[in-house]
Amino acid sequence: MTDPCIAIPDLVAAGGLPNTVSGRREPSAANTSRADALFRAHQLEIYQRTDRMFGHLMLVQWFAGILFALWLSPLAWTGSASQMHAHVWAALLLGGSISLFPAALAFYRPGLLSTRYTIATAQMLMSALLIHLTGGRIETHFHVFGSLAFLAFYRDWRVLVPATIIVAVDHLLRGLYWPESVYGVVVASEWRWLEHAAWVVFEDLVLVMSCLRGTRELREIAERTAVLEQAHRDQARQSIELTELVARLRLSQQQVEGATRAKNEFVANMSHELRTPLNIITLYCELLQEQAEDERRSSDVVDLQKIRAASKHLLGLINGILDLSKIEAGRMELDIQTFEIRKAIEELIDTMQPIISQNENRLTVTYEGQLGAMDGDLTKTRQILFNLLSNAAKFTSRGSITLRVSRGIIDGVEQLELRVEDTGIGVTEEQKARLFRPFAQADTSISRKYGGTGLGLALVWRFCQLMGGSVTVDGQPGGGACFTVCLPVKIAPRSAAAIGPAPEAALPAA
Amino acid sequence: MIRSLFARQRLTWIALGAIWLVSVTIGLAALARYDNAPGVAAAASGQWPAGTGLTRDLHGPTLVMLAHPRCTCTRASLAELSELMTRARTKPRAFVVFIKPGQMGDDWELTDLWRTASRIPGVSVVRDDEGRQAARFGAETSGQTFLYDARGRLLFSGGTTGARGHAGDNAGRATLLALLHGETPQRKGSPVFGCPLFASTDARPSIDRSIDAHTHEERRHTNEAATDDSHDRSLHRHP
Repeated sequence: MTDPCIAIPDLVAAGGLPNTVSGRREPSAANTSRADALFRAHQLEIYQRTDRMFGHLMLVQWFAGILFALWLSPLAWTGSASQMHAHVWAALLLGGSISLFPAALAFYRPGLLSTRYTIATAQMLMSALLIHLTGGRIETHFHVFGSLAFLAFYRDWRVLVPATIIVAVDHLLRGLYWPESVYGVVVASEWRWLEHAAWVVFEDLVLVMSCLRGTRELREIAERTAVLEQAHRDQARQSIELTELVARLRLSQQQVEGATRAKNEFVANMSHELRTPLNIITLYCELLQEQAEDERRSSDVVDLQKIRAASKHLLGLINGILDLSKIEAGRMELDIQTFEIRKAIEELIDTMQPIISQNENRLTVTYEGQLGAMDGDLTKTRQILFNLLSNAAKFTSRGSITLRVSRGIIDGVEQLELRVEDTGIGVTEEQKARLFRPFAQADTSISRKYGGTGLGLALVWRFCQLMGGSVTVDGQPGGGACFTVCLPVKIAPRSAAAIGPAPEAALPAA
Repeated sequence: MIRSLFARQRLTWIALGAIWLVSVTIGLAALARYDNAPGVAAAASGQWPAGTGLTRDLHGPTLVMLAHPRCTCTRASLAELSELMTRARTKPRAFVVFIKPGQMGDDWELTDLWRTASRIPGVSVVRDDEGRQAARFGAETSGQTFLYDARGRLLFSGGTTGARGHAGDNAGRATLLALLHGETPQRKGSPVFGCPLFASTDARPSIDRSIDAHTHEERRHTNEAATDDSHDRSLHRHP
């Protein structure tokens, strides 16, 4: 069977759970690799998307150029004769030449660096054409600056380089051959093209910063996405592991419950079967003892007394096991009846005097206030008190045992409080933790020294639970112990099945 | 094989790119060459021509621009004239003379250029039937501008734009401004960029291009304006 006892910390140690530090994941090598892949994919997506945008823009600019030319200079006149203006032909043919090749690249080879460079070049050439077509209007020069801004959509500063070079070369050549076309003077300084290029470079600097920042943000997004994906994967794996773990635990729990139930049923049946012959043995032992006493066979009397004492001890043990088994098997039922508290306690005290005085102890009983009657299980209440007083008497020698009985409201419920204090050997903190567990005495040496089965306090705890009450222990080694039992004075009839077997974890820790 | 195919495709794209770059560069250079190719310069005489029908200012400079009413390049020339008239400290008497070939119909000359010229303050717009005035001034290209002084002497002959249809700073406008500011410019002319005023098929008017010396000499000491309407009836003004 698979071991169900897999703790969550084991999962963490095995690397199943995410290793987080202050809620922030440290990027692993796998995450870095994934972040690189995400970054490149996102970058390619941006390149391709921007390529397509420019592909459409190229075609739009081409048609816009034709419309501009047709609107501004449809015909060239020579006296009374006219013909289509050279600008219209330029818009149609040259504009088409400029636009179609990069547009084809944008749609057939998107995402490539060469496509971006071609588009950047074409965009600047289109600026030159449009400036021509609009008669060199200063407003059309803004197409250059707008195009540079559009090119920054790539978030790749390299595309700005060919664009800027084209503007610079265009101004350089014009300055050399047709200075009037750009500077308005016939003779211009040979370095004046630098002034024009400098303004473009100025915008380039801003756009390069924007591109670099955009790329950095892209990288950060990729890294965060990679970490997030890893977290999702971890979470999914943990979820599966936890589901499997819960299933295994549930199966184990069912198996344990089944085994426990079978054991309890077996023990209950076996105890019943054992008790019958043991009662017969005890009975015949008493008869034989009486006969031996009558016949004055003293050695036989001593032997028979030992047999009888051992039988009684065995019977008590079997009775305890039977009760415990009944409770855990859910077959223990409460017998609710109304009884006078003080009277019931006094009757019990009377029968316990021999046990109390066995170790030369002194018992003091204090009744606080009016105790009245209670609706509860008289037998189990007596059993609880009997076990506690027996326990105190066993572990106290030549000391005092005090029983305080009171009635009051505890946690909003009217309860009977029984407090048994002794001046015995006391308990350690470790012993308190397992004192109420069945077959677990405070110490293994205790069993050898003081006897007992370790069932008494376990039954006390279970009877208290069964009746809706509680039991706690206080004390320290050598300073005596104090057991406090609280029982509701009105107990609703119910069986142990309603409560179920008490889990070990629910046992009091102290 | 696939690698070879990709390599071939790549080479094809590179070749196409190179062809594309060269072709568009040649195209733009051709366009620039076209835009910067000046028209035929005027064969102007040094004096105000006789029998023009235009009224020359006897006390200040007179500017005459000969233009084709449908030449789109002249739009920039008129823009520069408007700039000139705004910035000039000494406002010249200015005329924009739009030619109208003989075979054209009524109101053929009433274009946006006519309206633009009419809106320039201080500028008179007249129609030149059959290009008689253009012929008198010796103008061949739309946008051809002349500046005469009060004595009818030619101070400037050229265009007011730096390229075909391109507005903006240019040598012609700078020279005209210098002259109107009383400065001595480095040059007295500039290239003219515009449509030819006459087609080879157009009948050129037969004009006596003698200098208007008589009129000038006769009236230079008077305050009256010099008009030659009696000599040439080809000029018309639209209301």
